[in-house]
Amino acid sequence: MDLQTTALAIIAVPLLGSFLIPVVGWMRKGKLTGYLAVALIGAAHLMTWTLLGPARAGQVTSFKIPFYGDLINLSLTIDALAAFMAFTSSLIATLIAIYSLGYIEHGDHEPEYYFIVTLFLGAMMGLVFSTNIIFLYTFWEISALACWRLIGYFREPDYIWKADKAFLVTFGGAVLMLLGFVLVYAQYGTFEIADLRGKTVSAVALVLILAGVFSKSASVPLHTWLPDAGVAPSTITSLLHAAILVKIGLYGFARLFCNGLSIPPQWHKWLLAVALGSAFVSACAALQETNIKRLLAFSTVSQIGYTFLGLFAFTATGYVGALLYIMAHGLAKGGLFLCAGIIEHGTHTKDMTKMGGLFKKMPVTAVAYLVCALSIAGIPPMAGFFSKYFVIQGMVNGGYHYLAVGAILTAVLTLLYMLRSFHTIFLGQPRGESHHEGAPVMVTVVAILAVMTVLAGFFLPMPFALAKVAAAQRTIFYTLAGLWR
Amino acid sequence: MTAMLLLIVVPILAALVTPLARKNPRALAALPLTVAGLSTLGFLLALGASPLALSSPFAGPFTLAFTLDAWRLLLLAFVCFFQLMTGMYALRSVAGAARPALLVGSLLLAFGSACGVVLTANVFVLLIFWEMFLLALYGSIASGGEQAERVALKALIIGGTSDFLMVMGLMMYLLLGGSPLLGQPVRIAATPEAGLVAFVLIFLGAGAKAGMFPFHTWIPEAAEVMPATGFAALPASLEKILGISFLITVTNQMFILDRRARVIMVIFGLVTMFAVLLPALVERNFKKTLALTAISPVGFMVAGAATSHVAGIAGALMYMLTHATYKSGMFFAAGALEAKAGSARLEDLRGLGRAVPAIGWGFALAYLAAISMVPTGGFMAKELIFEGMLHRAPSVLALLVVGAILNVAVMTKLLAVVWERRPVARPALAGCEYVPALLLGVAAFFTGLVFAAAVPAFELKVGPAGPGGLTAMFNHVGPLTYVSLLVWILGIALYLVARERTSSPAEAFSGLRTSPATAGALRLAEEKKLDWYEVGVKVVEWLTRVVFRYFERLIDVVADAIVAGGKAVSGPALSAVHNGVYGNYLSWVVVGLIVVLALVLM
Repeated sequence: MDLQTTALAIIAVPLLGSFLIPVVGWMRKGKLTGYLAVALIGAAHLMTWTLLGPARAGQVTSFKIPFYGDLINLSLTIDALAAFMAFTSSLIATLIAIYSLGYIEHGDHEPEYYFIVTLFLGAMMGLVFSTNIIFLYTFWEISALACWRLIGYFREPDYIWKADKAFLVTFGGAVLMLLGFVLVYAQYGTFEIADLRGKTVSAVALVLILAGVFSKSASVPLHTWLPDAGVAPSTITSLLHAAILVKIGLYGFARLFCNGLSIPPQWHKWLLAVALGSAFVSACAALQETNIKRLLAFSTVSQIGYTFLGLFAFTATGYVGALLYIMAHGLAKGGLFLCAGIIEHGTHTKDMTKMGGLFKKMPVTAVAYLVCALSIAGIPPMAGFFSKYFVIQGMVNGGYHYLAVGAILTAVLTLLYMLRSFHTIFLGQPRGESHHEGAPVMVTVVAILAVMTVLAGFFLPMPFALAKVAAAQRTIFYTLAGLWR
Repeated sequence: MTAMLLLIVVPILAALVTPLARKNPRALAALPLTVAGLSTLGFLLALGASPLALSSPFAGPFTLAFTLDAWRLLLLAFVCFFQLMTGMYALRSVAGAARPALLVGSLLLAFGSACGVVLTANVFVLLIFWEMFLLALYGSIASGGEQAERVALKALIIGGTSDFLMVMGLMMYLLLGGSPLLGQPVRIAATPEAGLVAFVLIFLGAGAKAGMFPFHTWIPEAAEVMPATGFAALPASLEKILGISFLITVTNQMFILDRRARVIMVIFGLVTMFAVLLPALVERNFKKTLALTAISPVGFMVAGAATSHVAGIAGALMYMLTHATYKSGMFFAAGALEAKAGSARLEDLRGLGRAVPAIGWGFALAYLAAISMVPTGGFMAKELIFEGMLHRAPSVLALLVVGAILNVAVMTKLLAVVWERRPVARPALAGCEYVPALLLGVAAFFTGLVFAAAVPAFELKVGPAGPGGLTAMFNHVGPLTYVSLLVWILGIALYLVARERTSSPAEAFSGLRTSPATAGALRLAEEKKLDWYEVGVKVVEWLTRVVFRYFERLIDVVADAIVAGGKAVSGPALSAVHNGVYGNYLSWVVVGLIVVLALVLM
C-alpha cells in the first residue's frame, strides 16, 4: 500500500467501519461490538506504523481529491507532524478501547458506546491528515458531536446538561473559528493550508480562530466544560483528555499556524501569557479539588496550557517540546484516568477524601498512578520531564525568561497536587468498605501505559527524532519567511 | 568502562525486581549485600583501567556521556564502601522496617543512581540520575510506614522544587554559552545579571541536594521516622557526597565566580551552619541530633567552596567524604542501639556504648573524625577550609571557628551519652548490626591517611595547588593548627560547663530551652514557624483557594449562565422555527447560503 492509500485507510477504517458496529450490535448482543471497535481502532493504529519511517526521513506526501470545484478538496498531507499525531492518538485510543472491554461490560448501550468511540477516532484521523480548512472543520465538528453523545452517555439529566454545555461551548467556539476561516478565505481566496503558508493572518481572524482552538482544547476561560465532562465513563474522559479531543485544539493550532498562516510577532508574548495563565489557574484549581476526575481534568487544562507554551514560543525547541508533551501527556493522563476508573469501580466514589490506604488493595493501580503522576509532574526519567524541559527551554530560547519562571512555578504546583492526590488516595489509613483491584484487562492496560510512560523517557530519541523532523519542516518555512528564531 | 556502568545498571535492575522478593524475607534482606558485592567486584575490575570516556547522543543536550578518572574512582570507592556497609547492616535491619521491600528497592535505586551521578560527564544526564536518587529517597523515607509518609512527601516536594530551580539555571547556563559537557566555564562577571541568576539557581539546586538551608527542614524529621539503614545511606552520606561534589563542579568547572557569587555562597553557608546548631544542642532525640549535625557541616563545606581557593575547595571535598563516613557510622550505631533500647531518646540510650563496646568504640572513633581530631580527614579538611577562608575573608573565619566549637560541643554531648557510666544490661546484637558502625568508625579515623594517598585525585578536581601541592598545605604546623586545637578545647569545655549544671549528659544544654535569649527562637523552630516549606504550603494553599474560588469558579458560573441563557432563548426560538414545514427549512438553507456568499464576496 502506498502512503496515500494508507492515509485514506487510516481515516476510512474507523470512520466508515464505525457504522458497522450498531448493525453488529443489533444482530448479536455481547462483546462482539467491543472486539470490532478494538479491531477497527487497532487496525488504524497499526497502519500508522508504516508512516513513521518515511516521516522520520523527512518525506512529505500531499494529494488532493477534488470535492467541490477548486474551492473544497479533500487535501491530505502525510508529514512528520501528521504521522506523530496519528500514531500517538491511535495508540492511546487502542489501549483505551481494550480497557473498555472490561469497563463497559454489561452496559446498556454498548453498541452505541463503541460506535461513537470508533467514529471519534476516525474523525481525529481525518483531522490529522486534512490540510483543507473546510475538511478540517468538518472532522472537528464530527468529533464535537461524538463528544457530546459520549459525555451524556449515562443519560441522567445532570449529565445531559453537562454534555450540552460541552457541546455548546466547543460548538460556539467552532462557529467563531469558521467565521475566522471565512475571513481568511476572503483575504487570500483559498482554504488550502499549503497555499496559506507564510501569509499573515489578520487580527480579527486570529482571535476568531483562537476562540475555536481554545474552546476545543479547554483553555481558560473556555475550559469549564472539561471538568464537568468528568461525569462521562472513565474511558471517555481518558479519551477526551489523553488521546483526542483536547489534542485537536493543539493540533489545529500547530497545523494552521506553525505550518500555515503566520502570526505577527507582537502577538507571541500575549499568547504565551494567556497559555501560562491557563496553566496556572487550572493548577490552582487542581490543588483545591477533591473529586479525582475533576482534579485530573484541571490537570489536563494546565498541561494543555503548557503544551501551548511550547507552540507559542515559536522556537524549534519549544515546538519539539510541545509535540513530545502531546505524547507524554497522552500516555500519562490516559493512564491516570484509567486508574481513576479502576478506583471508582472499586470504591464507588470519586471523592478522594473518602479514599485512603488503597495501595495494599490496588498495588498495580497505585504504582501505575504514581508513575503517570510523576511523569505529569515532570520528574525524570519519565517522558514528561523531557517534554517539560524542551517546552521551557524553548521559551528561554525565545527570550521569554520571566514567563519561563512562571512555567517553572506552575510545574511546582503540578508536583504538589499530583503527589498530594497519590498520598490521599493510596497512602494513609484505609477508609470505607473493603476494595479490590480492577478487572485483569483494565489493570493490564494501566500497567502498559505506566510502562510506556517510563519507556518513552528511556527511548526518547525515537519520538524526539520525529519531532525534530516536524520542527525542521516548519523551520524551512519560517527560515524562508525570515521569522524563525 | 563497561564494568563501571555495571555499578549503575546492576543496582537499578535489582531495584526493579525487588517486589518479586517481597514474600521471601531472607532473600529480601540478602539482596542489598549481594548487589553491593557485585558492584564492588565491578569497581575492582575497573580499578586498574586508565581514564576512559564514553559518549552517545540521546536527545538535545542530554548526551549520554560518562567519564572515569582518578577523582571519580575515589568517589566510587567511598560509594562502594558505603554500599557494602549498608548491605551488611540491612541483613538484620530490613525485617524491622514497616515496608521492607520498599526500603530495599529504594536503597538499591539510590546506589545505582548515585554511581550514575558520579560517572556522568553531562550535567543534564546528572540531573536525571539525581531525580532517580530523589525517588529513592522518597521511597526509603516512606518505607518507615504511615508516620513517615508526610515527611517523604515533604522531601520529594522540596527536592523537586529545588530541581526545577536548577533546571531553569541550567537552561540559562546553556544560553550563556555553557556546555552540558563542561567545556569553557561561564565567567559571571562577563554577564552580570543573567550569569549570576543562572549560577544562583544551580547553586540552590546543588546545595539543596546536600541539605543546605533553606532546603534542609525535612532532614531532622526524616531521621525520626525513616529506618536508620536508609538514613545512614542516603541523607547522611550519599546525598552529601553528591551534593557537595556537584557544588564544586558548579563553582569550579561551570562558572568563574565573582565577588557577589562568593558572598551569596558564604551567606548561605553560614546560615546553614548556625541555623541548626542551637536546636542540636537542646535536642532530646539521638537520631534527630545526628541529623541536625549533618546539616551544619554542609554550611562549612559551602563556605569552603565559596573561597574559590584551592585549599578551601579541597577542604570542602575532604570534609564531605569524612563527614559521610563518620555520620553514616554514627547512624548505624544509633539504629542498632535504638533497636535494642526501643527508643531513640538520649535518656534511653545512656551508657549503651559501654554495654556494646563495638558500637561504643565505633562511635568514639567517628566522634574523633567529627570534631576534626588529628589524624582524621576532618582535621585536614578543616585546616584547609580555614586556610582558604583566611585568604578570602578573615572575618568570616572567626564565624567558622565559632560554628566549629558549637559542633564539637554537640558531638561531645552525644559521646558522653553513649559512654555514660551507669549499669546497663548487655543487649544481644548480631555481628551485622555492630560491624558496620565499627568499620565506618575505623574508616573515619583513617580518612586522613586515605586523603594523603589520594592527593592527585583531589588535585584533579580542584586544579593545581602551587608549589608543593595540596600536601604542603596540610602537612605542616602553623597558626591554624593552634586554631584547631582551640576549637577542640573550647568545644569540650563548653560541654563540660553545660554538663556541670545537669544530672546527666542527656540534659546538657537543656537550660537553653528556658533561657530568655534562646527560648523564643527554639519555640518558633519547634512550632515549624521557621520552616519555609510549612509556610510555603500555607501560602500556596491560600493563593490557590483565592484563585479557585474568586476566579476559576466565577468563570464557571458565568459560563453556566451563558449556556443556560442560550438554551433558554434558543429553545423556544428553535421550537418555533422547527415546525415541520418544508418551506421553512428551505428558506433556512437559502438564508445560510446568502450569508456565506456575502462573506466570501467581502
